[in-house]
Amino acid sequence: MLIETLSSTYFRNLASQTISFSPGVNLLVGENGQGKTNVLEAIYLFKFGRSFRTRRDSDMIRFGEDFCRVEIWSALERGDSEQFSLAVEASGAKQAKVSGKAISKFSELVGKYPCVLFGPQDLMLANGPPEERRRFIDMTGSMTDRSYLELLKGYRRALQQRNAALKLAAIPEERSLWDRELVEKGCALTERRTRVVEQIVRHVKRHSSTLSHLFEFSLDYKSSFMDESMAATDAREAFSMKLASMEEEEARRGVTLVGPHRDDVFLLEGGKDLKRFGSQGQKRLLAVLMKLAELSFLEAELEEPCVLLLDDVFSEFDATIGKRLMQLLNDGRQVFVTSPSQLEWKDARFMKKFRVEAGTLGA
Amino acid sequence: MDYGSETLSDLIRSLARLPGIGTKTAQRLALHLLKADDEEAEKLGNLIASLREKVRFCKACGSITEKEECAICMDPSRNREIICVVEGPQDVLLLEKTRHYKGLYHVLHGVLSPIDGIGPENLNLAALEQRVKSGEIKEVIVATNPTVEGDTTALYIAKTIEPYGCTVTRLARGLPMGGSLEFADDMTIASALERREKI
Repeated sequence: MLIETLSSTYFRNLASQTISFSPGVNLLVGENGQGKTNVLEAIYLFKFGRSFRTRRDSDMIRFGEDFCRVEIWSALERGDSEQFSLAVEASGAKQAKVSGKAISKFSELVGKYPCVLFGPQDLMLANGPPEERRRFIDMTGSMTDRSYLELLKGYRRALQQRNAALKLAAIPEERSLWDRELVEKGCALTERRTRVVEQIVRHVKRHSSTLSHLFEFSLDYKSSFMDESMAATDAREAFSMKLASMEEEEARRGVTLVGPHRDDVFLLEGGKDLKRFGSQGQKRLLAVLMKLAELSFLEAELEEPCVLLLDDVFSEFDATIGKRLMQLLNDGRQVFVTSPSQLEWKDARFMKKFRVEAGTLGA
Repeated sequence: MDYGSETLSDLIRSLARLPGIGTKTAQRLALHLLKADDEEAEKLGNLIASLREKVRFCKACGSITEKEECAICMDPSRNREIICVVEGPQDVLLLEKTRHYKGLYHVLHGVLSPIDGIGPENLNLAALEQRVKSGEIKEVIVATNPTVEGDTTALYIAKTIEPYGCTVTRLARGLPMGGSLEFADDMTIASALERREKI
């Protein structure tokens, strides 16, 4: 995908202007608070119909105004050109359109707008709680397959109902009634996640060898019910057995303690747990590699180059790795990169520089 | 808001409490009735007044009727050995439209949903068990929706009914008629594959 132009009205501090971008590297340079990240936010909006910075849509409206609007013209490699627009009102009402047609569910955007963002917050992938890694896997899987999203919703629903039953139901039979849906959907979700992680690992290893030969990274999906020591013949049986063993505790606490919502992805370097034994630098590197793997995964599944958004990431790396990273990222795709100072990007394809000042993009 | 009439304000407030109707729509409806022919408003008023008094649920199956029992339950030509269990009265109409089903019905008036505080005792389930207990029923077809709640309700029914020696079946889920594989999502295809049938 290529972003050709961006126009916005009352979106954060961005001036109402139409900006044309380069199909190669677009460098946004400016002091803090001038609006560099706002440009990335506006572009990212159409991935899921949501901002990556706020859950409250009305936060995106410029202070004192009562609506905002973002419009993007994009072109796909296979030739279609499309117009994406999103308007948010102060009440929080939101309306998205693709080429003039209103979208009723944001899941309709899935796969239509392949883009990947990498910013300082992504360090949480390596540093943060398991939830961060689960979300990463689920988001990556959902981007290429709408049924993944449906499955995820179905599992959450079964989990909610089961938790409510654990709290309310008077007799044990009424509680265990919800086990079947939880096990069915939970096993299907675990299988999907394992498949996504396998792909991610493959890409991580490939990119890792290009970036640095020093480390040997890997990821391992850790299911909360698949236990090697257990005598279960398949996943469903293993899940059911684990639930049975937790029955008393679950009844006491009123929550489901086993299932994909409790799983984690272990990060390994040379076979050792990176979270416990790794350095900050190693963690940062693996977080980048995971995002790179997401990029490669999406591009392979969708057969379309992704738009890459980089929010001030190069300042974190030493010069050698930074340079190799740039080469890797620039590989035939459109890139938007913010930086507080001029960035030296050797051999950048069609580099276009923008100076960002008080919401205005100039040459 | 002050409409200058207590009656009008009350009506608007009552209408706005109905599902799917906001204050603006309620206002439009009320003002329309005010301007309409005498008959129109009066007829509507009478219908609403007699709704709760005349319409009731069939004592056997729970569908809508104005008598003790509904027309389907009283029809001697229906097969009394099969019961089709549905979530709501509207599902009976849908199944009747197909003209393919000749058995009886049983309306649950909802599905199990602990989130909303709905357990077995809040649904028309005890009556179903009674009907099966009487011995005449050979098969119960569960036609609840293929959702987390609908499937779990079906499981509950199977567990309570099967001990009476009655067959419990579930509506099949698979490819839609006239549809092509290309446009089905993979959950549907997987389900159709799992429940495939011999030609």
